[in-house]
Amino acid sequence: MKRTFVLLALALGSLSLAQQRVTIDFWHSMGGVLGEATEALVKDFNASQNRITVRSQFVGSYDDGLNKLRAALQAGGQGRPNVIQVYDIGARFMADSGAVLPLEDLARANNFDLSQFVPQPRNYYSVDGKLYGLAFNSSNPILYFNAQALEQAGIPYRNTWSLADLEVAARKLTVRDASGKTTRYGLSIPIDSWFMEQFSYNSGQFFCNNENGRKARATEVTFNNPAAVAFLDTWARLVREGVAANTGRTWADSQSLFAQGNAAIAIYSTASLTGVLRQVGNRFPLRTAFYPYLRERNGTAIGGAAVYLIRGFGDEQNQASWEFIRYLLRPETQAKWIIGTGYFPVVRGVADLPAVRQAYVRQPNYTTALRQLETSKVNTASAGCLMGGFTEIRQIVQSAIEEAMRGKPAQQALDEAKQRADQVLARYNASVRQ
Amino acid sequence: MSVERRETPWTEAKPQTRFKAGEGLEAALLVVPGVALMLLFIVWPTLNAFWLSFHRENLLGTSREWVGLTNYAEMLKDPAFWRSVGATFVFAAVVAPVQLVLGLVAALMVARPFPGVGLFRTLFFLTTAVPTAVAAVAWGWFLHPVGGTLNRALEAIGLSRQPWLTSPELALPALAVLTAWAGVGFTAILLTAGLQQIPEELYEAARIDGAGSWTQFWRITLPLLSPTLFLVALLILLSSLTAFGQIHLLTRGGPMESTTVWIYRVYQDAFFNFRFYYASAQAVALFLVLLLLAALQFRFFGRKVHYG
Repeated sequence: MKRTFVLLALALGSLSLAQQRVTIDFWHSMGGVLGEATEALVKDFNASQNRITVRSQFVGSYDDGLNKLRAALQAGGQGRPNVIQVYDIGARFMADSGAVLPLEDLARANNFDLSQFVPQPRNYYSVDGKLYGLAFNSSNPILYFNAQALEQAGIPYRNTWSLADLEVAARKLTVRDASGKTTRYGLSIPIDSWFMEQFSYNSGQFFCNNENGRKARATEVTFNNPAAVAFLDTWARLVREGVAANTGRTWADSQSLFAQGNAAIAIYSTASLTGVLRQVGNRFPLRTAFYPYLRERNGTAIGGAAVYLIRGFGDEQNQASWEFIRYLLRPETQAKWIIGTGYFPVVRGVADLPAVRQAYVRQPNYTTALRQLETSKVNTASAGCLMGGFTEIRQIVQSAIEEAMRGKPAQQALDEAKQRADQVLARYNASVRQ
Repeated sequence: MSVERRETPWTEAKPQTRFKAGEGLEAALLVVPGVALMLLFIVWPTLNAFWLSFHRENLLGTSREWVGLTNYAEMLKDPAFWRSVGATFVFAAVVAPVQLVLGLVAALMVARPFPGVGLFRTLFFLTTAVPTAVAAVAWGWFLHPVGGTLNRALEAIGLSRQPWLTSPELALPALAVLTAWAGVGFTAILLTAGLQQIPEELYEAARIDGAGSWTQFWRITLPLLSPTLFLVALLILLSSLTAFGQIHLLTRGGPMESTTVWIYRVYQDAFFNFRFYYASAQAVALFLVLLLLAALQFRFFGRKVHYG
């Protein structure tokens, strides 16, 4: 009898709570370790207060998420999420879609000081002068060194590398057998357009016109700029000479090569660090360094993804979404998120927190990305290229990389790719005006 | 020697079924879920793709306009489309013979019972039972450009390693071979069924006439199996024209778009490039090709086959 009463009271209690509670949907694309870290943040948020419940859902890859969003919007908005995580290169698309509630509007309405943001993530996700998305997971590309190989070859470790220096080191680190066949590669870079983009930015060049699409909507790609051409030329030449490995487009295939000690230098994202460290184990000491550049180091753009608020919900729901965003922006939350994921914080003052400091002392390689960010110049080159059709254009760039590796001159491969990419961009821009 | 082939089960005329009053309704109710699912997930999307292929859409697909055959005209002028069609047929041209021959060898080995036949049947069928994703990952390790098992084996016997999935020449054939491998079990089952339909008396008669096993194979097995072989070949062709998972997992259409087959082009244009209308036009074209092949199959098997 008494038990029934207690149960009844509990049921009534939860009923009244449920009436007050606001539930919002959050779609993300973080799988594996990153997915667990994301779910942990959501759980912490739900436990930290009793008014808002965030219902998180893993929606597959970023492209899958965008397709789901697109389908929901096509169906008149039925089932669309309040908050969605979309990759970096979707920034132009999200702004053009008209489906996003700009973060800046909410921040201003809630008196949130936007200067708390680290400038690069803020610049990256600002479209036509307005901040649209919150950089959730932010990364940049870094160099990975097999420190043991470096030492054996008598090459001193350095923080910054020009492309020419990197080439010299890669050649020195290449080991060949008696027949001249490579047994250890000097360098391994997965075939990914991102590295061409970042090399352009880090050398002070643009990947698309109108200053990376930051002064006005981009109408042409400029990935045949001198820096990108030099990078591709060197990379392709080293592959043809057996100094650099060609493991294709799959990052994992390059990472296993590096982790087994069969490539001495590699280029990946800072977000790969946890995974690579785990793969390397005790095989050799690993060191990371800043991304290479052509003549003078400008700074890299951020990669990763941002979370956006979707339009069409009532004030109560939007306010709940903002509370969730606000929670993600707290330095303590940021600290929890970056420790162990390899991403870097997007608001100021996180690196000084004791927990973060300790983590960085334990594994100094995690500081490389952050220091690279802090020492990057803040300009339209390091803001990153903002354009539509980016996924398709990346495919075109990747084909150009593959063509160059087979012997087509880098300049020619990129010039030809530009023709195709410009058509894609023109078609995208036309579809926006429609 | 004159043999009249028995009718295959699927061409036998079914006895006329008559429903009593009330039973018809019950039967109709029973098929409703199946038909509804088919309408919802096959017929409706197909019609939708046809309809969409005559339109242009804005960025989010929230407004569209009728453009007639513009998408088809663009498709026929698009070199990327033709490259994908070419890749598709090269792919099929490798998959079909490899899978057919391997399947036939497997079927011949297990068609007649012998001790342990169950083990071999299981082993052969295993390749079909392995999910595409698992098989693709395993093959990815096997074919890794530097540390893969195959390349290490090649180096161990003094040959040089090959860029199996990272060169535009090798990637498509390599994918075709692993696709054929995955289909061997299914092919073997169909062919085993075909083999078991061949009357044992014929082999006995042939042996009495002094025919060796080679002669028996060419004079009895192959001719009598040929309708099944033809059917299986068509089925392989149809499935290889829509191979997707292994390509998506292993090469994503690269290197240099060499493995961007027709259906992968459709996928990329729709779900990456957000040009659903253009992807629909290409999908409809692929659908028509598949329809043609299916019609061919029905036409061939709808008739009785006699050997005189």
